[in-house]
Amino acid sequence: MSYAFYPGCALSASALPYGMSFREVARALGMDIPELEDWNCCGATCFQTLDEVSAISLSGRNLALTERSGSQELVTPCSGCFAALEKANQHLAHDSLLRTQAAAALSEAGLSYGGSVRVRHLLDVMVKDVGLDAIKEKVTQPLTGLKVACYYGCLLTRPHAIARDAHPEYPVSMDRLMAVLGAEALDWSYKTQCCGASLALARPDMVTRLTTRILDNAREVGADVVVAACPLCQTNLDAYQGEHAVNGSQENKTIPIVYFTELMGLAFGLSPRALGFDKHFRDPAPALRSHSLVI
Amino acid sequence: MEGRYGAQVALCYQCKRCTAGCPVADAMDIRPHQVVRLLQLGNTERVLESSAIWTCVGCYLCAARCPQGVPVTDLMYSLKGIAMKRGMMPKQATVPAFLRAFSGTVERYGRLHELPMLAGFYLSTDLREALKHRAMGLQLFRQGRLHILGERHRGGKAVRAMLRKARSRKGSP
Repeated sequence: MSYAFYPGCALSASALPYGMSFREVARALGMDIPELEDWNCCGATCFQTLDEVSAISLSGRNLALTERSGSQELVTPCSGCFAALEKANQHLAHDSLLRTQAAAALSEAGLSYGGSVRVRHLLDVMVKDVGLDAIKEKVTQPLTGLKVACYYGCLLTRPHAIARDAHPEYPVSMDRLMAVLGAEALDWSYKTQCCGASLALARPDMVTRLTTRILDNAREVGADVVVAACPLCQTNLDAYQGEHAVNGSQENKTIPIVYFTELMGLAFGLSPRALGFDKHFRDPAPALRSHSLVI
Repeated sequence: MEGRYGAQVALCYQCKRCTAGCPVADAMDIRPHQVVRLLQLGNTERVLESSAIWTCVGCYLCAARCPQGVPVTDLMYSLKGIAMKRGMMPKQATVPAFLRAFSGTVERYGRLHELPMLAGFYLSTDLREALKHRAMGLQLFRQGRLHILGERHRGGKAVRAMLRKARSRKGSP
C-alpha cells in the first residue's frame, strides 16, 4: 500500500508535538509515508457551512494531488481533516451534480480526480496496518502503571458513513494501542463527548463547559494523562484548563493531554525532547516521571 | 433545505433522542428535535432566527443516535449557511465572524495561518477578548507553535482560482 501523508494546517503550529512525535515514530517503525506535496487546507467544517462546492473542491484538490502522486491512501492525523476529506471523497463518488461542479473548479487548478483514493486516520493506520504486534516489538520502555484515558472526540467516530467501523460512542482502538505500550487504558464515560471543536474562538464559554465535564470525568476515574488523536481536541482540552475555575471541586487540579504518538515514542525509548513533550500548556513530565518513565 | 434534506426530515417522529444526547441542548433556545419539527411544518424562518443553529458544536451525536437516519448535524450546518446568505445574524455574531476569518485566510493563503485568522476574527468582534488570551498566545509563540509568518504555499494561486470558480456557478452568492 502506498501512503501519502496529509498533515493539516495545525501540525506545524499548535499541534507541533503531534507532528514531531509522528515523524519520530514513523521512522522507528520504518513506515514509508511521505508528505503530500503542495497540499492545501481541507476546508474543515467552515467551508461546509459557507459553500458546499467550495468545501468539496478544497478537499478534492488534495485527493487529486494524492491520485496524481500515485498513492492509494491519504493518511491524516487530524480528525477534522479526516472527516472533511472523506466526506468530499464520498460526495465525489455518489453525487453527480456536486462532482460536476467540483470538477469544473478543480480544472481551474489544473487537476482532475478519478475517485481512487482512500482516506485514513493515522490512528487506524497504526492499529490496523502497522499492527499491534509490530508496535509491541518496538517497546523498550513499557508504560507500566501509567493510567490513561483515551479521548476519541467526535469526528474520528461519527458520522458512521465516514468513520466506518469505529463504534460511534465506545471505540476501543486507542485503548488497545495503549495496552500494548504497557499502559492501563481506563474505562470512562466521556471518550467520545465533544470538546467544542471549532467553537473555541467564537464561543469559549461553550468549550470550557464541555471540556470541564470531560476532564472532571478523566480525573474521577484516576487518569494520569488524557490521550488525544486530533490537534483540535488536544488544544481545547489543554489550553482552557486554566480557565476551569468553575464548580469548585476540581478547580486546582490540572491534567496533561498528550498525543498517542508521543506515548508510542516514549515507549519506544525515543528522546522526549524530539517527541515534543515540552510543547504543551500543562507539562506532562511530572505525571510521567511519577511512574519512573525517563523524560 | 426542503429539497436537499426534505425526504429525510419527513421521517422524524419526535422521539427526541437527538436532544437527549446533545451536549449543548440546554444552551439552545429551541432544541434539536424542535428544529426538525419546525422544518417539517415549513417554519424555516423560526429556525433561521434561532440561537440553536449557532450553538450546535457539530459533534454528530444526534445523527448517530437518530433511529430514522435524519442528518440533524448536516441540517444545522446548512441552516447556518442559509442564515448567513440571508444576512440573518445572531445577536452575538461571533460564529459568523469566525467563519469569515477562517475562510478568508484559507482563500488568501491556501492554508490556515493562525495569526491572520486570529487578527481577522478579533478585529471584527472584540479586541479586548484577544487581550484576555495573551498569556496563551505568548506561550504558544515561545514554544514555536505560533508563527508570525506562515510557510509560503505555492499552490495558493491555484486554490484561489479554484474557489472563484466554485463560487461562480449559478445560484450561489
